[in-house]
Amino acid sequence: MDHKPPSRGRLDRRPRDFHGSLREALADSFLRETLDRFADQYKANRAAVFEGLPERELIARVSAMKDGALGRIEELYGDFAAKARAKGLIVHRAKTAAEAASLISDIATRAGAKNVIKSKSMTAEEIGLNEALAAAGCDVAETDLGEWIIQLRHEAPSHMVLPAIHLSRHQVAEEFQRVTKAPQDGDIGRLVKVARRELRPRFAQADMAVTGANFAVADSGTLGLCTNEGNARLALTLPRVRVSLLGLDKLVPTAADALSILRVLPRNATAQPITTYVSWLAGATPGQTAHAVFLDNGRTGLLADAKCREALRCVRCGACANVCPVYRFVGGHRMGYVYIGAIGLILTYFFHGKGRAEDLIGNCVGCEACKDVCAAGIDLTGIISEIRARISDANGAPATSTLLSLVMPNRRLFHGLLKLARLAQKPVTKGAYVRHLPAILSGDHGFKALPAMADRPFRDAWPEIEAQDLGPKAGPRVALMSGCAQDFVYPAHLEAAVRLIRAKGGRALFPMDQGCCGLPLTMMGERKAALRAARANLLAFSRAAGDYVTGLCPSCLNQMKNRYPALFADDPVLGPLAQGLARRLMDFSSLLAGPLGYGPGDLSDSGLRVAYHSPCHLGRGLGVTGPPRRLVALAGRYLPTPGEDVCCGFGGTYSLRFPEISKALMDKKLDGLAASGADLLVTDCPGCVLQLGGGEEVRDKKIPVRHLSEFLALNLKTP
Amino acid sequence: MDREAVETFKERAAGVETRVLEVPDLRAALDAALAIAAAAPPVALLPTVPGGSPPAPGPKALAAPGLAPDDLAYLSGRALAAGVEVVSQGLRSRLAGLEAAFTVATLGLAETGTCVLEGETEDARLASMLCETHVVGLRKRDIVRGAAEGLAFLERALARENNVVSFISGASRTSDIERVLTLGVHGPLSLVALLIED
Ligand code: SF4
Ligand code: SF4
Repeated sequence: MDHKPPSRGRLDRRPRDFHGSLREALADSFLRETLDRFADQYKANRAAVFEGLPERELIARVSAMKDGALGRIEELYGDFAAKARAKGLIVHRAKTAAEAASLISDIATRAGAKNVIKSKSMTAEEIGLNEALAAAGCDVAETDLGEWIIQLRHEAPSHMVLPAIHLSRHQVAEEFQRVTKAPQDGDIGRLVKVARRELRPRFAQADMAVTGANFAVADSGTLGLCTNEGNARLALTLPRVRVSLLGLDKLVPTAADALSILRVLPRNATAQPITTYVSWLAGATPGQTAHAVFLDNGRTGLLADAKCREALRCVRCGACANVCPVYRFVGGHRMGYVYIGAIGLILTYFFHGKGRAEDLIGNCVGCEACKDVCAAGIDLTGIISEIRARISDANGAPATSTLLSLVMPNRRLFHGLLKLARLAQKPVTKGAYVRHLPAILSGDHGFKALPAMADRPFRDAWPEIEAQDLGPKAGPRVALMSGCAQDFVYPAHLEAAVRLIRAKGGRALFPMDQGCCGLPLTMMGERKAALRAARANLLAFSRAAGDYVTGLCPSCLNQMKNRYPALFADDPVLGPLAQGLARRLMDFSSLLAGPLGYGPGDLSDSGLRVAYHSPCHLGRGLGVTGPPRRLVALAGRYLPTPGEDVCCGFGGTYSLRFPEISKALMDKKLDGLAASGADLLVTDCPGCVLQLGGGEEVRDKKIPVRHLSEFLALNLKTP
Repeated sequence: MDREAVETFKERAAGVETRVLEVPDLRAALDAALAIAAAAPPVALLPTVPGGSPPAPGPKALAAPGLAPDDLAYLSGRALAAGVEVVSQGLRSRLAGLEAAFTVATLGLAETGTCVLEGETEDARLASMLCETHVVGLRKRDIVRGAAEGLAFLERALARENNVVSFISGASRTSDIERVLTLGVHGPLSLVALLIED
């Protein structure tokens, strides 16, 4: 067996050496292949199951409904309790995890229940219920197949919907062999039958059942529960005592509201139109004592937290893990504590505390894939940034980050330092790449060549470039946001952009007092510094004329368009300026394809087969997918490749903090590219060019990587 | 009757591995359920105490809780001739399993190929979970397009005291081992929907 069990057990969920554990996960070939296949199939299956349905509208309905429900959660709880009690259900409320766990073990003790069966409940994981019941002398059996498997292995779930996804059939067979004391092979059908046979007596003997719930419908006192295996249906029927444990966030006003969730949840979770069983229990059932335990454990606190409260909209579909490129590489045991994926990073902070969230929160590369797919339309990436900032505020940031945070918002100082850095790198550069990495960056960081700083930054060259073309113009005036990377590393990209704007009669402008957009600081959790940088930049662009504001770095543009307005929402002066800037802002490819009017006939055919990588902040952040591909096709043969929109792993400072994951993401991309037969890779973000171009540089067969602006400018008919 | 809804139901139910058959009336549905039980391979009986062995096999059995007395009498007469035991109550004593069960749905949701069972007694719920083949009778006129159309029904049903409503779409399934879809984990291995004409 080439597969080691993960280092995280139930009682020690967090690995001690976080980076060591990441490396271990990356070396686990079974896990990697499984999650890879899962990610690809999930994407295709999800698209198919939403076909013909107004996906965005369904999600918007869930998010509006949940916001409404959360706004009057106490009222809903009161309604539910009154209705359900009238129908014989015993309703409890627990303030903390410990309180809920002891409440439920007391129910067991008072009922003299020894044999307890459970159906899958993340909330039970959250409160450590199995341990509490065991301490009260109960014999607890999980009945969901995946949960049972990991219970036998003393592990925690690695996915909210597919708890044992990290295990192979052989590992399951090995475990079942131990339980049945009979040989088992890896035939999945037979293994499922083993569970059927072993668990039936547990159902038959059970004194008490504990289940979760997906909905608590307030106006009828109904609990709603979705399962595929039917274990909950049996569990809710057989024992004389049943307990449903659920978070307060599961309350919805009406059955119609529950159905609105039901239309999205199974589709998003497992690409099923509906789960096999949906049980609705209005009150108690004859012959049984029925309890419902509502858990707070930080939920009402989160509700009062205006910046993060929408995390409570979560319906636990698990999709934010399914699409997360980091989850895909490291698995759920490193991408969450109890809850997993993007929402796991968030809820760990609110439910289990800062200490547990610290390592995890840095894991996110900021690609926005989770936000894009969320069943409840939660701004997951935004909340993750917010938490990162809070943790760093509380801890005092590490020295490197603090130094940068002082320097970056101060444009002069920062730019001065960047120029110094160019001098310092002199002895080690060779051509466009740094050949021998300084010691601090070698080792884990040697997986790509780092680009050399340009001899002359764009801003220094601008007076000359501007002077070349001062005549009157018929076309639009376009103010360029350079972004630090392009200004200092890739000025050629910007020069190409200027040529493209001018070729269509437009005028390029460059506000000289612009600086860092603030995103790198946000990613480091440097909230105040990020705000200072954003303010300086906002003022620079608001002062500049220009019909449009554009740039070649979608991360900067996304920050300016989608974050500035929220950042300055409460500021009477800067707020409207931020909104004005957001309105004028247009990504570069949309500008070329739209107002500048690039079309067939403007470019000559390069004759190349061109693959395209869609940058996270362009495709998802700004929602631009069509124009760059159409532009590529104007000057070459566009060759679609699988996973075009999966993150390249750069994520700014992320690639320095998590080189293991960054490299894994990059390799996956470049392997796919090598297999595609493309002559060239085009993308439109300097970070992606840096990551993927640098990666190609250390490979044997190098496929060139170019920014879209360069590729197009090279093929301009009228240079 | 909404013909389009019926057609959609057939298509979507097949999509979740539900076998769909059409019969003229309830009696014909009972005949069909009986035939399914008679033709089924003998049930793989399960132990009901930990470490124990399964009970000794008996005749093939069809659970049919909740039938009107004359329908039950009709079914029992037919079953006697076919050598099949009919179990109309006391399903708790059959936890080791049985070949088939027949229950009647109140509503069908076409959009998802779902059978909606309402007001289920303990016996009805157990029958549908302990059998290897669950046969559901569903009147064509009770098939509506989707959950939205079913909402009025659901609201009425849930307003009642101690009501259990179940949406069932296909057989019990799992993908928990290597994400391979496998039917029949804790409940039935297959689901048959008998669409009743009248
Ligand atoms: S932004 Fe990307 S990396 Fe971060 S949690 Fe979401 S999907 Fe994962
Ligand atoms: S945060 Fe969104 S995507 Fe993630 S589990 Fe919750 S609802 Fe699903």
